[in-house]
Amino acid sequence: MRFVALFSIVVVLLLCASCSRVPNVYIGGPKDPQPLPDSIPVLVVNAAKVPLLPQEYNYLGTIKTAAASGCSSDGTIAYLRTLARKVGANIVYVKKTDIELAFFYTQYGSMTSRCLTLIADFVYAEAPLISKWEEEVKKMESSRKAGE
Amino acid sequence: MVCRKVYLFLVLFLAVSVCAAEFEDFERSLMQPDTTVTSGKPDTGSSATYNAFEQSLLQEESSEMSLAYRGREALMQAIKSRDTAAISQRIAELDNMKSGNVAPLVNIEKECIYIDNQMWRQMLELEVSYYKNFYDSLETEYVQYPENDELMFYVKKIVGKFDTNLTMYRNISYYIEHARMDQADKMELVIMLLLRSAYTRFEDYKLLAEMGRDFCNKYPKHPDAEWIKKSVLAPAERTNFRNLYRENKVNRFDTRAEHKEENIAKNLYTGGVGTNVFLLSGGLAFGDDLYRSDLFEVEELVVALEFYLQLKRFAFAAELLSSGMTGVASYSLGLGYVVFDSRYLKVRPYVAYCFPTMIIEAKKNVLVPERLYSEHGYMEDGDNGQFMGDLGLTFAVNVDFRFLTAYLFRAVNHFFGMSLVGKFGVSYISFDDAPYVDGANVSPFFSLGLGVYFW
Repeated sequence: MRFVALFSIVVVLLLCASCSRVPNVYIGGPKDPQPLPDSIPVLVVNAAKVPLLPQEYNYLGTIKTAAASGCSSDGTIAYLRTLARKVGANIVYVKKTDIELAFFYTQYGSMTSRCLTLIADFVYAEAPLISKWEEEVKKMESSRKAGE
Repeated sequence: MVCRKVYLFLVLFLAVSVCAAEFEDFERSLMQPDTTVTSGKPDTGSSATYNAFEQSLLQEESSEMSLAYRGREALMQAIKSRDTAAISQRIAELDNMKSGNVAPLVNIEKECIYIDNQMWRQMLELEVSYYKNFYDSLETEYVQYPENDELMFYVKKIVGKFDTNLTMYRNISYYIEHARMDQADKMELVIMLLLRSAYTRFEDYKLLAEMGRDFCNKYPKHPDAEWIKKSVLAPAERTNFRNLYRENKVNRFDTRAEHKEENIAKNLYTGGVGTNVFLLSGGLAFGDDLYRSDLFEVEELVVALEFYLQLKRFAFAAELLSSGMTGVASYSLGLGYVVFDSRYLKVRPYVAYCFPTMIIEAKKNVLVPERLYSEHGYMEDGDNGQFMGDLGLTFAVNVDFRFLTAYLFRAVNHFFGMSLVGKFGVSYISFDDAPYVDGANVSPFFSLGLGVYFW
């Protein structure tokens, strides 16, 4: 029985990992967000490699995510992309990353999840290099779809 | 191949890798182009990527490449003679030779030359130009680089002198401090150099933020001040999330009075918790006489109450309501929908399932069914009894005239409101406690009162 219960919890957590909302604090968002069209991909740019923003950009808020049981790095990144699109940002500018533990307690014991947490800016910017990245992402996505 | 090894070494030394393996996916997609960032030399990938057509192109470019080698030799001679003017000139010549196919001199080579020859002003120009044009420059994929020449070994030797445990800035900070440059230029150069490690080393991040602030405060009219403020300092400062959150909250609190109407408008239809107290009720009844008026007197409901929870547009209500019929009240559970919400007016129609009730007082001694008055089976003159009805339905609309709306404590998006409340509707009520209380009625009714609402 205990095994079944634990198994069920693990299954639920794994299922939730793909669909759950990532806990976060988001500030500085636009009052009247204009969602990004589907034709424009959202780029995730690591500030450790690209340490500055373009000269002209539109700042659309900063987000800090937190750990939650059943988390996944892909899920977190996908959530950030979705949120960025919603507020009209084409760049998620990741400035700080960390690995935090989330605990899930049950009557049978506790489980931990190692979660990627990060602080990122949402910005909209246009520049030749950004267009090049967007093209590369589009190519990758289309080749991935073709592979499927 | 040797050149590639040097290049990889430089990349490892100058660009600090980010920890998380979890980043693999999006880093693979986005960070590969960035390998050009720190070295100025893109990852050319495996030689298998060159097809025959490209090979033929490369052969055609051999004359460009030999010019590049000659230019690099001349540069090496200038370096040997320690002639900084000649070095600058040779570097400019090599830069002019740069084409889509050949890159005679890359940034890391220039940086090493400038460091070795203490050419800090040129170094600053290089860094500023590189970062300012970062998003505008597009490196082509199949660029050739001169390699295995004297200049390459010279660069390798300089790099070998660096302490690999330190960033480039930490390696050369002493020389920059003592360089013969304007303070503004020194600060700007330090900011540029710190950029490489600001998001991987906390101490460099702190120094960058501090230096960036100082630079923008001290030299607000500097031609690069605006750029540094917006592109470099602003994202760095926003990394301190606690500060950002505090500032945001303080700003919002400070300006909440002037944005009150805007904030109220933004939070309409969001939901909240409310209570209404109805002091005045009335109505008409159509149907049966519900009780034996020769035996009982009914007690009027003095105050009717309603509690409701609104989620978005939907409202769940629990109420004790006067039904419009004399002496008949009802406990109701209702579901409503906010059809209109504005600064002053809210309209919320709802439907409720009610449990009618009637409190009666006997005028004389009356035998009553045991289930109602089980102890004695009768009511004496002046005794009270409560009769519950079978079923009731109410269709009504709540109209709130919000005469007061204020911020809830220190919140920006939460409010406290007071309203004049009117409830108008129709209720159907039936009793089945024969022989004394029996029948059904339809009653249009109204109630008026005051309401408070937290939202």
